[in-house]
Amino acid sequence: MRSFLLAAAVMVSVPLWQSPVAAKILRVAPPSPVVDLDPHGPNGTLRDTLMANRQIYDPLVEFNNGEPVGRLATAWQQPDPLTWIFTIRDGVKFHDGQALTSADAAASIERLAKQKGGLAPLWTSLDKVETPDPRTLIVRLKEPVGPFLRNVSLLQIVPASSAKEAGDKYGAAVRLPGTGAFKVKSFRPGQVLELEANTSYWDKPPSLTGIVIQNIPELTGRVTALVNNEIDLTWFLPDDQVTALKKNADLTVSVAPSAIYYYSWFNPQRKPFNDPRVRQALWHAVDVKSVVADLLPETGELARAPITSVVFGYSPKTPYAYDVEKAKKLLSDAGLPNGFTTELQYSPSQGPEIEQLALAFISYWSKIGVTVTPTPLENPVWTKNLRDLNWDMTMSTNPSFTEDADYTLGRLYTTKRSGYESPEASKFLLAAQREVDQGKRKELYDQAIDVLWSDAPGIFPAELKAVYAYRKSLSNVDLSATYTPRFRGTEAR
Amino acid sequence: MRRSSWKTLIGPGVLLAFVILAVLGPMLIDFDPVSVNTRQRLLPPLSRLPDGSYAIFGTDQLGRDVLAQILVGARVSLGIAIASGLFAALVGAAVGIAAGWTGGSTGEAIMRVIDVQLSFPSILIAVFLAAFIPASILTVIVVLAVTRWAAIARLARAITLKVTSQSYVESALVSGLPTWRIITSCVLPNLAAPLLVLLTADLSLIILAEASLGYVGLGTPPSVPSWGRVIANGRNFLDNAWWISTIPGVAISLLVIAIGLTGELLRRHFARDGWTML
Repeated sequence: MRSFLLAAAVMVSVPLWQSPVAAKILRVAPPSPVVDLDPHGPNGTLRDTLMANRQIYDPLVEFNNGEPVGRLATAWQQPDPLTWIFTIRDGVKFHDGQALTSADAAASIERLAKQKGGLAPLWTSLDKVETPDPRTLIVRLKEPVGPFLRNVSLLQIVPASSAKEAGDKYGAAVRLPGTGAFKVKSFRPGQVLELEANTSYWDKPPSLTGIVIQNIPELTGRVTALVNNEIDLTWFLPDDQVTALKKNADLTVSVAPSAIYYYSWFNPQRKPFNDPRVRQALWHAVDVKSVVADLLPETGELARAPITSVVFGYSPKTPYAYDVEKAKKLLSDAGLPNGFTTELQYSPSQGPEIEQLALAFISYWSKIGVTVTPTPLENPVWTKNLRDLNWDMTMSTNPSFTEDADYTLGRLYTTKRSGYESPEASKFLLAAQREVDQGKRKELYDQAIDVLWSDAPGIFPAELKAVYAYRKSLSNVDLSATYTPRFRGTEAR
Repeated sequence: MRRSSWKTLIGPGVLLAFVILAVLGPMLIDFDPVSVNTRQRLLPPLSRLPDGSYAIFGTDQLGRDVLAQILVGARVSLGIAIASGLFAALVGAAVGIAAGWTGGSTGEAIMRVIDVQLSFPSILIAVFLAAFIPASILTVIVVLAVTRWAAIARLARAITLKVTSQSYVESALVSGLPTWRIITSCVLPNLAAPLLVLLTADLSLIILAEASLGYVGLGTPPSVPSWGRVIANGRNFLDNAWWISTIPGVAISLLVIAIGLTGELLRRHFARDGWTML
């Protein structure tokens, strides 16, 4: 009898001391696949690549509620407008065991700045980097950079040795260790990225034991997976799903401000969009307010600027009135009383409601005699056309990743990236880029937005709310305004 | 005299009804494919619209009437299916007869090309082609014809080989009848019946393939509502607006079943006339 009791006691206690803390793996399905993990490569601005990199790497500083917070840098100062000095954190190790020094930060800046695409345009004013000692990094600029710390917050640090090894290679062929809260366990580009917790993380170690980031291409597939407990978290959900998901007792739906907005650009390099009256006519012809209210009742808000209200430099203007007569008059003033024929390109994967928005606009334009062919394209084709300015009109969503107007306005409207260039807007935008006084920068953006709003390089219909849906077992989910959440603080029960 | 019960006429009857709907339907309704009305989006079937009319099959995510889209879509989908079926039949029959008639290494070479094409899944070829050619109705017709002609060519070659081995063809050859005369008077009449049966079967495959292309976004342009496109439009609304995808889906099923039944009827009819499937 006693031995039976003993055996029973052992049997009961076995699970208690044999299974330690249960593995807490976060299962995530972002809206688009993670194509590579190179934080400095041409895909460095892709939303979900950026999100994956935020788990694996650390930048020197991060922004928290608009204020810079030290990460791999413990202190920084700007002795003059062209010089920044960073003190590098001691005792940080990369995933491969190397200790972090200022040389790694210097190599990371140089690696990013010397390629063409991705985040490199943020570093065009870089003169040189110096490392007088292993804890000090000096960045020298050719011109002052107003949003410098914002740009630094997107610079992920990799070891100097790995950067050297990678040489001129960027993108999917490159694997670089980071210092982040998670390290790569396995990666199949475009499909699954498995991360495991970095137990020797320099900051508070993550409570999760790992993350599985998988690609579920269809929105319905992602939502079904979430409802069936196959994934824990997804985001960028369309308005029509929000109401249904809110009713589900197993799920939390969080709607937060975002730095993402819809735009519908005109190509001013092509006729008739070189005439601002044509661009204004097309804006006045659409009842943007109703369209946004009908298509995006929960997740959208009528835009009042070409950036969203959470972005530094935001300055609201009066929305364009829906006025068909005015639109017709502007068109005939521009010599097009009978309208014209054109096309609108978009990639359905750029936003859940993009096709609806495009078709609604086209319906309104048909009423002023402008015949528009909707042209949905595969994302890579759409992106290539966008870069080559191979479009009449193009519609998409766009985030201000650094949450500073310079990232969006300074990058897109001074360099003909959008096909648009105006000496006046450029004057304000370049001045704001070089101004280090943040108060003065705000005034300059107000003036620049005035010009852009009336000159209409595109229609800016709506700013979006960030929608995250996750299982109730999760807490402390980072509701990133740019859909690039960090999971080091996320907890799972 | 064959005994025909009313049951055998269900297939052709439904098919005829769809053809009539496709021809007359779009004339009965006032549908502008470009026009949307976001005020009346996602209304369930039998809802009353602000203008007082009823949306019998509901509205889609842009407030367009689903019934109107199905009527216009019937014309688009059936039109595409028939056009690409005929196109495939023309090319397939020409190539197949050529291969069967010439025989030898030329005929073998043509057959190997056909084998290569048949070894690819047809929807893969369609997706591949559609990704490279800008979307239009003509593109869809050509793409779908490309996926179907090979099977027709095989049939045409088999019939040609069978016919040319007959003694009356040999007599015709010896008597100096020109090739085109032999083909039109001996080969084509023998090919007509099996081709019609195969084409009917192909028609349903083409309708389904068109819907699949539309579903993956490679079918007709967004402003042309084929059934596949309407189904695709509704896929993100399956849980809150089931009618957008379901109703055209049911229409496709009915049509494909009707075509299948009609094809079966034709096959039996020809079999009774002394012809058997090869």
